[in-house]
Parts: sequence; structure tokens; C-alpha cells
Amino acid sequence: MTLQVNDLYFSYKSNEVLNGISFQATEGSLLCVLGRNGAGKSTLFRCVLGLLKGWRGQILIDGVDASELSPVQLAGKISYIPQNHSTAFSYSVLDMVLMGTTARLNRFENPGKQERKLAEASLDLVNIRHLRDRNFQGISGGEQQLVLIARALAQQTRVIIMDEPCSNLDYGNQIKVMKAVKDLAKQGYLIIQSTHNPEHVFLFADEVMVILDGIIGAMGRADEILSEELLREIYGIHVNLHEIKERRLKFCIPDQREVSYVEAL
Amino acid sequence: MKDSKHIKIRMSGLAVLLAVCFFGSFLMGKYAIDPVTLVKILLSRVVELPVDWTVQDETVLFNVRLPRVIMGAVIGGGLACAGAAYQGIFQNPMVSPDILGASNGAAFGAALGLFFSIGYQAISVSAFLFGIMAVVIVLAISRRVKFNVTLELILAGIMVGSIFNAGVSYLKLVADPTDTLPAITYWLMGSLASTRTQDVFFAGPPIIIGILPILLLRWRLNVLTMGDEEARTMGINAKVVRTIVIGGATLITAAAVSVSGLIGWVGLVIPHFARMIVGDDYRVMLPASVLLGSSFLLVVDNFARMLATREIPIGILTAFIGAPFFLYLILKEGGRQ
Repeated sequence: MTLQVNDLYFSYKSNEVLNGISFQATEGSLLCVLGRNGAGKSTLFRCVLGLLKGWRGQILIDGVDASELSPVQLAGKISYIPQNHSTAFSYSVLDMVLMGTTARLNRFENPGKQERKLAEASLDLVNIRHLRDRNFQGISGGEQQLVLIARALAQQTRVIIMDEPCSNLDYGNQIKVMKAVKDLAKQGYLIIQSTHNPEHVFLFADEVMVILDGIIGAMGRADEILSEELLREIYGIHVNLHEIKERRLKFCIPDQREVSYVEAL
Repeated sequence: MKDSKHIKIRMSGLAVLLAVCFFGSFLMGKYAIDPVTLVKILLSRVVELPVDWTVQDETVLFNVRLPRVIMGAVIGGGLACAGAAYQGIFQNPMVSPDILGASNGAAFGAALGLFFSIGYQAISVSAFLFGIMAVVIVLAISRRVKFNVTLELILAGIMVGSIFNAGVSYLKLVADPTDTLPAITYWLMGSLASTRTQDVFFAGPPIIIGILPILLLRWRLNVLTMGDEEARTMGINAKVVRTIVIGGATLITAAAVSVSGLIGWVGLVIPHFARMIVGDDYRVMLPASVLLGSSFLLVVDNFARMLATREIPIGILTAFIGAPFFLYLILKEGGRQ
């Protein structure tokens, strides 16, 4: 499965958000998207997911033009994991995962035995079968995120798009969710996720894409392209990069000489 | 989380409750009919039986009570169904079936009919058409909005609803205070007292036609409560599902108001009650709402005709029961968290 985006432009009224995005990603990879708030990450995702109309350019999924696919067909190719959010009503974990099977059903059909098996297998894939009958609102934020991942797996697509899956999660849950995501990429899924945490990119990403004001600033392996200069360009602060030699792992911390952002009293 | 066996038992319980309320309602009223006679009269339509009941028994049963009981059951189930569906598509548990102005429009249509004394059947037709027209106007307004469709729908619904409300007030102001004004006022209070067989044939079909697509789409309502965009990424065209549901709910509400006047609170409270019993999953919650709504309206209608020497408009009673019950639910929810 290949996702190819060519010269993608999008604007809200007169506000240009995407100014010609082109990239290609293939399955078996975790692609992280970095960019400051408002850089166009979510807009890019929403164009690819068919949630926004009026973009110019080309989005090809395995060579097929995405704009010619119906919602059901598109849902068979790309699934979406939203940021964790509250719902007005409470469903069991199994029912939440079952929702991922909706694209397989006829308009007036309820999920049946086959769909339930699929949902349970998806719960197994992220090791949360024990949560099957729990109430979705009664489990922890990290567990909820895993349930949403299982829901995407039940949708049986090779491409999964995640919008900041780790926001609102505590440190332990962030790592658990990222590890699960990484495992899925190893199993052959293409996972595209936006993140605000460069550490996660260094730790888990196979590839990173940097979006600066609606264009791709850089794309490649994290330890090759993420430099102090680029991070400063993304976030507007000075960052120091360090490397732990024995783990061949880079990490960044904010520069200590940084000027204070709060006026002295 | 309640397991599926548990839910099956509870659903059967609700079905039995409805059966009891349905047959029980035949027996109750100013003119009492005892259970044995009831069964005999009903059976006599199928098999030959020696007649040991009065003609009056039979007249009351078939011409007065039967249409009233059927209408009560259908309207109660329909309004609960419409309310539950609206709460799902607007992702808001505080929404009731009149949110898009259907009942305000229907009330205006009825008031207009009463004002011009166009006749009993014509009044129902007028109410029904105006109810549908109100929602069509709301949909037309919301079509022009690109962002946050559900909020725009609700705002447009409130706006259109209050315009029709103002229309009703104006008609009351200019109506003849000796006969037309009281007629409009009583009509708006909501009552099943004057239900005739022809009403059942007029309002029954649209209500049942409205309930069917909603029941069939109940799994998709679950997915739609995740929000339009999320639902779309799972292969659901939110706009299409929502339009079908709005169409069904509007048929139900307009038809209900056109024969019974304004009966409030059923569509808001019953879905919550159903959720308490079977959980939030629309696959069971929606049928449970229909059963419970029917039972509820039948019971309340029995009180409406038994409680005082003259009929109490049922709309007053549903408000008297519904509002405190709703408060109880809110307090109970609040206490659980």
C-alpha cells in the first residue's frame, strides 16, 4: 500500500494552509509529522481522509485517486485515530471496536458474529482483550487510546492516520501507546501520526516529515535531518541536541541560555 | 456493562410491560369494562360467541377506547424514538424531538385551522403539513452553513420554532375569546380524549413509517455519536444518515401533534429512562425507548381520564411527571460521579 500526495494546496477562505505538499509513504513504516500549531498537519490529514473538500492537487492511494472514492471505499483504505475525546454516551470497549467494522456492513445492517470475531482479534493485537466488557469511559486514557487503535485495526486498512495520539496521556501511557504503534508499523502497517514531542520522533519514528507553514521543510530519517537549526525553525526556541552513544539515540533539551519569557518583576 | 443475556431479559420485561399496559388500558375509564367481557368481545370478532354483553360495551370498546389506546401507544413509542434518535445525531442527551421546530410548526398549523374553522380532519392535515414545513425551512437554512452543521441546525430550529410560536400567539390574540381561543388553548395542551378511528388511520402510518428507518439505522446512530468526521472515516456519510433520521423524526412529531396536540417530555425523558435500563447502545436502547414510550403514554393517559371528574389534558400530566423525573435523573447522574 502506497500513499502518494502530489502538489496539495488547500486554503480556508483566503488563508492559505497547504502550499504544495508532495510526499510518498509506503507500508511498514511509522511516519511522524512535526510542525508547530497551525502549520497544517491536521489540515493535511483531513484532506487525505476525505474530510475536507476543495483542495487542489492529487492524493493517490495505491495509484487510485482518493477524490473518486466514496466514504465507504475510503474507509476501507485509511482509518483514523482521533485525539482522545469524551463522548456524550458510554459504550462498552467491544462496541467501540465494533464501530470500526461499520464500512463492511450494509446500510441497515448491525454487526454480526464475523464482525465480533474481528473486533476481538483486534483487541488481542493490542493486548487489551481483558477490557472487552468494560465501559469505555471507565478505563484510563492510555487504555482508551489503545481501544481506538484496536478500532482502527478492526477497520482492516493498511494505512492508519493518528492525530496526536499521546496528547493528554501520562508519561507511561505515552510510551505504551507509542510502542504499540511502532509494533504495528513493524507488522506492515503504514502509520502516519502528528506529534508535538521530538523525543518520540527520535525514539520511535522510521521517518519524519517537518511541515513549515504549509510546505514540507524536510523529510527523512530523524537522526539525519532533525538538527538544532531545524528544531529552532519549527518551534521558535533554541534547542540543544545530545546523543547517547551506547544506545545510538539522540535527544533534545531546551537551551539553558535562553532568554526569559517572563518579564522580571 | 450489562451482558447480553441480562439485556434480553430486560427487553422481554419491557415488552411484557407494554402488553400489560396495552390491555389494561382497555379496562380503564369512566365506563368500566371487566376483563372477561373485554376478552369475549375481542374474541367475538374472530369466533362465534354467545353475546352476553351490551351494545354499549362494544361501542365503547371499538369506537372510543380502541382508537385511543392504539394512538397513545403509537404516539408514545414514536416520540420516544424520535427523541432518542435526535439525541444521537446531535450528540447531545438534552435534545427533544421538537428541537427543529416540528411541533411549533404543527401547533401553528392546527391553530390556523381552528381559527378558520376548517373542520376536524382538515385541521390535522394543516398541522401535519406545517410541522413538516417548519423542519424543511430549518434544513434549507442549515444547508447554507459549512461548519458545525449540528449547532447551526439547532439554532435554526430554535429560530424557526419561535417564529411559529409567535404566530400561534398572534392567532390566539385575534381569536374569538368565546369559542376559538379556548379551542386553540385546549388543543395545544395536548389530549388523546377526542381520538377517533380516523385519527389512527391518519397519524398511525406516518409515525410507523418514521420509526422504521430510524430503527434500521440504529447501529449507525452509535457510530454517529462519535461525531461527523470520525463517523465519516469509518465509512458513514453523516449527512445522509442525519437527513434520513430527521425525515423520520419529523414525520413522527408532525403526525403526533396533528392528532393529539402538544405532548411534551416523552421524547426527552423516555430515552434517558431506557438508557438506565439497557445502557447506551442504540441497538437495544432504541427499541427499548419505543416500548417504554408506548407504555408510559398509555399509563399517563389512563390517569388523564381517571384522575378527575373531567379529562385532564395529557400534555399537562406528562410535564408534571416528566420534569421532576428528569430532575431526578440529573441528580442521580450527578451523584454517581
